[in-house]
Amino acid sequence: MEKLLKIAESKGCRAEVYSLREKSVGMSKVNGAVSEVSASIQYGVSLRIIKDGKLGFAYTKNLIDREQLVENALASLKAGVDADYDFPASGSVNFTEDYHGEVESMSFPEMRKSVEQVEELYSGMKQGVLEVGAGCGTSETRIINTSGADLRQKDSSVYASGMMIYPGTSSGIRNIFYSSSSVSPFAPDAERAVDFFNSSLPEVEIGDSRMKVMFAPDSMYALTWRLGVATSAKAFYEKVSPLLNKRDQQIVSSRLSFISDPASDTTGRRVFDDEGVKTQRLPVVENGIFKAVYNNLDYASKTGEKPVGTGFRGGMWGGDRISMTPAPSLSHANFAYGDKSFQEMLAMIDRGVIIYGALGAHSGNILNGDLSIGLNPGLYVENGRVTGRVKDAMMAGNIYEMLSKVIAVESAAHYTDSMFTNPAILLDDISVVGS
Amino acid sequence: MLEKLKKMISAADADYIDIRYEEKKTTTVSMAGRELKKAGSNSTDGFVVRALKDGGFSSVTVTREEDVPEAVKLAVQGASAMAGGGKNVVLAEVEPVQGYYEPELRGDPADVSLEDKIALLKKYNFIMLDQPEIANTNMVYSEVDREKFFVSSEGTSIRERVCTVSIAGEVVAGRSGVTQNVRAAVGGANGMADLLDRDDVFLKRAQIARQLLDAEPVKGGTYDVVINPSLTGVFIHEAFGHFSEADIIEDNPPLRAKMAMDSKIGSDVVTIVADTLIPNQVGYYKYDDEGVPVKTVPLMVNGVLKGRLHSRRTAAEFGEPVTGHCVAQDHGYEPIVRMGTIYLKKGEISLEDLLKQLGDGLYLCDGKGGQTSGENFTFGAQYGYIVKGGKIQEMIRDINIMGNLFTTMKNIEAMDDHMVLSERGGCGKGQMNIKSGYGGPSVLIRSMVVGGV
Repeated sequence: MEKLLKIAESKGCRAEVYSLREKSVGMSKVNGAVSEVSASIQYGVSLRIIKDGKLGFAYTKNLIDREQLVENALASLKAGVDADYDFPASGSVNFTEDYHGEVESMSFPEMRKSVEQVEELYSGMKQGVLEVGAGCGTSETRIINTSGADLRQKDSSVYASGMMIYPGTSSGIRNIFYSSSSVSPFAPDAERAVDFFNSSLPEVEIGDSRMKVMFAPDSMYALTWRLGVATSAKAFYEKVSPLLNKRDQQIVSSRLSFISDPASDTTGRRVFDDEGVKTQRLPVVENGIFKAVYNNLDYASKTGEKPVGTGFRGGMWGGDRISMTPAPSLSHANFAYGDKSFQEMLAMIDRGVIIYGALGAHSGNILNGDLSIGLNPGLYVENGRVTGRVKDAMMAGNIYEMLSKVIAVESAAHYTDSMFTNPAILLDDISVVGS
Repeated sequence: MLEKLKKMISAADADYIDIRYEEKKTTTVSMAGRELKKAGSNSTDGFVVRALKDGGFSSVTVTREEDVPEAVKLAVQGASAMAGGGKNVVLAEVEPVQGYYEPELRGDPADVSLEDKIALLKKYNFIMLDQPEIANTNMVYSEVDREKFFVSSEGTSIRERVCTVSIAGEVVAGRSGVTQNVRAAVGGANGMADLLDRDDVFLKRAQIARQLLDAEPVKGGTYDVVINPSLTGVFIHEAFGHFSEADIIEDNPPLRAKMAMDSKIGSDVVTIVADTLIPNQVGYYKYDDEGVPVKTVPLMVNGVLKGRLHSRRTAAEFGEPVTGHCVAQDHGYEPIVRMGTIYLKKGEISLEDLLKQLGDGLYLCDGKGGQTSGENFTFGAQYGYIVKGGKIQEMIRDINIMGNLFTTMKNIEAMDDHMVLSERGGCGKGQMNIKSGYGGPSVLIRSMVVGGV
């Protein structure tokens, strides 16, 4: 990496070298039979250069020909992409607190044992398909740049998951358990999931009406996605955000705070972002008031604000971090806890649905905050009890209007498939369209 | 390379093993509004090893050649770990193939300079930005050129190149703090010719985005609808196509029972074909990523289920013919069952007559993404119109449709005589497939649940 940096510097460039090595192993089981075993060892290096105020970029999965990689980056300068910033002088960091060496040596038999432990938690499900999985991995990230930064982070992760699928469908209720060392599935979450699953086996037709709607942690990403797009420095720079003139104004219920805090993220802490900027706690929305936009070096420069350590590689659904340039990202942002337990929130629902899965969350006018999703599943609740799951139903609205109707926020957060850890939130008077 | 790959797997202690090496060259140019955000070409490569041992089956991906021996070892260990406690995997028998495929491109993108590609993207981008009330664009020129080398312990040896190009993104119209966006895309697997002289496409998309500023949100409810070819493609892909992928239903006995061969799933007018071999389409390929030549598969004929898409593993599991539909995103992924080109067969009446048959309802246009979960699906329409007495009236927006596959397929009443296939793919199923082509005619469907805002 140092050689690569020197070659780039010798061509008159400011430069940044980003490297990533990831190793992962996973196993899954369906209805008691092991269905998949896979592993991956991925390596890559990407190079960003700045010369005469223009940005160049190149990457490779095999760093064999360093000169060629620099030439590729130099060739991309022709595009004339502006870069009115320099790579940060972030000093030297070697963060290994979330790395546990024993994860490297986890064997397939150990993984199989872990899968079987998770399987046991769901033994009470009455019908349907049970999918369980377990896996582990390690990753090593290093960033060096011509401003003297040398930042290293090494992590390990272990996960286990269980998903109960309704008979004849692909929708169900899922639990994810995560740790940086050895995972211990949280039995109460699984027990509640089994109870809800069994209670929601009957399908219910609800017609069209307004009712209470709870977003379970698994479906919260449909909301945070829209909030994230609107609060990005990119949307502000392009003057297309619906929140353009609403900083320091109330935009959602005062019960809600939406905070980016990569250094505290329980699904993968980050003490520096993918551009080498130190991460920080950034309240994007605090007590319902829109407080801050998030950026990367590029959009910080363009909007005249300070970088806030939210320049990450990877899109909404992950992606190949080596081949992507850092962009403003809320990949480590979550809603803050509230003051009601899940059971207390459930008791507040006279008639309503709990959305455990959002079908089609990627369609609709995301920038505007419009949301129109299939409830997949949507658990039907009457008088505080789950009595079924709704058939062919959609929920529609605009998130700013919807999130002004928050009547409770859960006092705990849960891991989800999308790797966000959110509490459930309960909304009042939401339009639900059913068959 | 093929000889090198053979050596890499020759000593593996497995009942079956294959290895795929792939070099992937990408050129990306992106613009946000009037600014160029990214431009350049890069090349990556990697290996995917799959092993079968004692009925266990495992896969490993690596990027460095020096890691291949460990990948072979891990794949065999993984297969052994699965054996005895999992599915007893069998791969359907196929004849070994010695294959080579190089597409005949109308203008190889490799021969076009980066500067010319930037100029082309800028041209279309500015056509849109120069229209009234267009607030922003996010547009990307994308070129993916994959050279794949596949070797198996059964003697199959294939080299295949697949190359796709596209210019795609969104155009955003804005007025008084309200924005509306529509997607714009041209492309294909036929070379640069797919991208040239397409000014009219981008101009029209900008005009639609602007018109949406005056459109009303659709009121949620149940409607009779006509969906246009773009939306039909998304519908057929999302609602039915994924359901015809064997791996989606294999572990779900009730779904397998519902999707049994010769079941009457749709109305009499519905015929759906997976035809990856239609020339010049974005979905075209000759061999899949486990070395099987792809076949045309009639999936549904007059509403009756007649075929299914398979990998070798699922073909054996279902006792059905192999179809050559086991495809990976790239060298970072093991192959899974995917669609190539899938379409709904057209009918014999005009669009005008189809709308008359609709009477009162909605005419919905252009897909805006979709998702399926078992028999339930949802997809968005970029815009639409209210139809009264068969006549198109005012424009509507914020349209999402949800339905149940089995109910909806039986509610398909008619289709018009004009079929259109998509120019660009992009389907996520744990990994991306940019070669998922789809299409069909305009289709009349009764009683669709439409969610408004």
